[in-house]
Amino acid sequence: MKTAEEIIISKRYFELNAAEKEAVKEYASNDEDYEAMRWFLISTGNEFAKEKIEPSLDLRRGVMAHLNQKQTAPKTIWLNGVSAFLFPSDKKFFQYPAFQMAAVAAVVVAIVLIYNQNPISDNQEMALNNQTEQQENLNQLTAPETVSPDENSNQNRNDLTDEANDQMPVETSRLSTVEKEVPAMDDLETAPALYYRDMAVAEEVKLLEEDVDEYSLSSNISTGANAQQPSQTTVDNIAVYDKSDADGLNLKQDVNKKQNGDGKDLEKPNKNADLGGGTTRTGREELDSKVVTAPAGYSTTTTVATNESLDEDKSKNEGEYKTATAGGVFGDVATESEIAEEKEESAVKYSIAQTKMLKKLIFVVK
Amino acid sequence: MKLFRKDYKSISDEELMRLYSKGDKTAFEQIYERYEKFVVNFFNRKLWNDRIKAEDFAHDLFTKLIDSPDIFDTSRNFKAWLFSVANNMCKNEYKKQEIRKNTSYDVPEHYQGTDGADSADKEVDKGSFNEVLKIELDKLGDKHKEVFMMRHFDGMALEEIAEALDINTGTVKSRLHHATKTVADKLEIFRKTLLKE
Repeated sequence: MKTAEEIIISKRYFELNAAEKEAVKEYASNDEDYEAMRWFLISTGNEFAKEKIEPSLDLRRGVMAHLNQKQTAPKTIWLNGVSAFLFPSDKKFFQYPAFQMAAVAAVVVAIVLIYNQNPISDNQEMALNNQTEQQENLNQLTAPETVSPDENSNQNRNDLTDEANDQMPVETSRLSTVEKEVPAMDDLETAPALYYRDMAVAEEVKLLEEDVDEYSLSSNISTGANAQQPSQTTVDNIAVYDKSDADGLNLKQDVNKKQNGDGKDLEKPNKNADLGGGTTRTGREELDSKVVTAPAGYSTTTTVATNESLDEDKSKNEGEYKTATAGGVFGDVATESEIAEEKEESAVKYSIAQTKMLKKLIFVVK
Repeated sequence: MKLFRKDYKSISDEELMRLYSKGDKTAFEQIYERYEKFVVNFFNRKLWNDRIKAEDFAHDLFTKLIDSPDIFDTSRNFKAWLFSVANNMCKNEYKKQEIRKNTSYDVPEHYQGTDGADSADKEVDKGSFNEVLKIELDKLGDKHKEVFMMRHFDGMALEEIAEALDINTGTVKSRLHHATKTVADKLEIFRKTLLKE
């Protein structure tokens, strides 16, 4: 907004509006006074303009020379400003940036220490160790891939059985801890496959165990020659047979033994030896069928009875056992041709069972 | 490259001083362009119209500003601050001389303090409006004369005068109104004489 002097100098009185007249009222209230003031201000301005001088070039040169001689502003060293920034003199101590940063750092350290006391970290270390052990176990499980199928099948069966028995607790512990461990990114793809593979191995091993038990049961009772190598399983099986099915046969043998008084009659082929049991099958087949078809409770009962009466039966039937060794378990007099046929049949079955186990082993390895 | 070139003519005095404090010599050159004439005429008016002394003082003032740009408080108006610095230099010079020389606007030594109308008549007769103006301004006293000269000779705004003299703007207006009305009434005779002629 123009001042009163500026309005007076720039305009004539009749050019003024109401606001401008109000502004110049202090200097001129009417046209005549306004024109007198206007003339004075213009004349004074002109006189002052005449009084003004122009600076000489020497002054300019001198000032510019001094300006060029002066170096630029001194470069500040940032390190000197650190303390001034951290500890400003015009603020209170709690407003110092150094104090505030120290407080924040203390809070962060306290939080870290509190979280480090959490026992979860120890569990994580345990899980890590379990992971290492489980990895070793998995490596051991994958090791049988190098075993050739031409090796002795019996040894393979025993080894496989023992290995399965040894590994089962490991698998169980692994399964119990698998939920806790946090698999690494590299194991995420292989972990499920290995897990199911282990489960399949355990299943196959179990089936193999059952097959081995069945085979050993049937093979040990097949002939008298095999019966000459009594084992716990064989004796048990005999006892089972005695209790379950062959009561009549034993009685028949006892009757024959008592009637004949010597073992010669035993050498005769006793075609009616199965009268008590009512069966014409061979002892192995019969035992196999009974083991398979026998009710569970009945088998349990006979097993208990077998264990309790093992010594008694062993002492009582020792004579019959030795007699049966020569002439057959059930009083049958086996000829050499029949023995050979049985051997061939058992060999064929043994080879079939071996083939099955090999197939299962290959499946397990795969 | 013009896009990145600063237009120093549109930058305020205070911003130019900040730039010069950071080492921008061009900013100070712009400051010098704006206030060279103002400073020299101010010293010339205050130091008895001694042109050489006025330029020496102007040189000292600018070199002081070159060497110590930080002495300027950027929160203040640069023109008012520059005037106050120059005014202090003049006061120091007055003390140094111990004798205040009569300037063209000071009361002449031969002035006898006669009646204003008679002197005006004499001046009109002599046809010297300028001399009568100097006489009448000297009669006003330093406070009123200083405000009048700063407003009409140096061209300063009322606010700048108030800041430079460290007084209220209302006081400046009052002093200026009183000085203008008084001198204008004294010099009214020149207008009437010129109109008659």
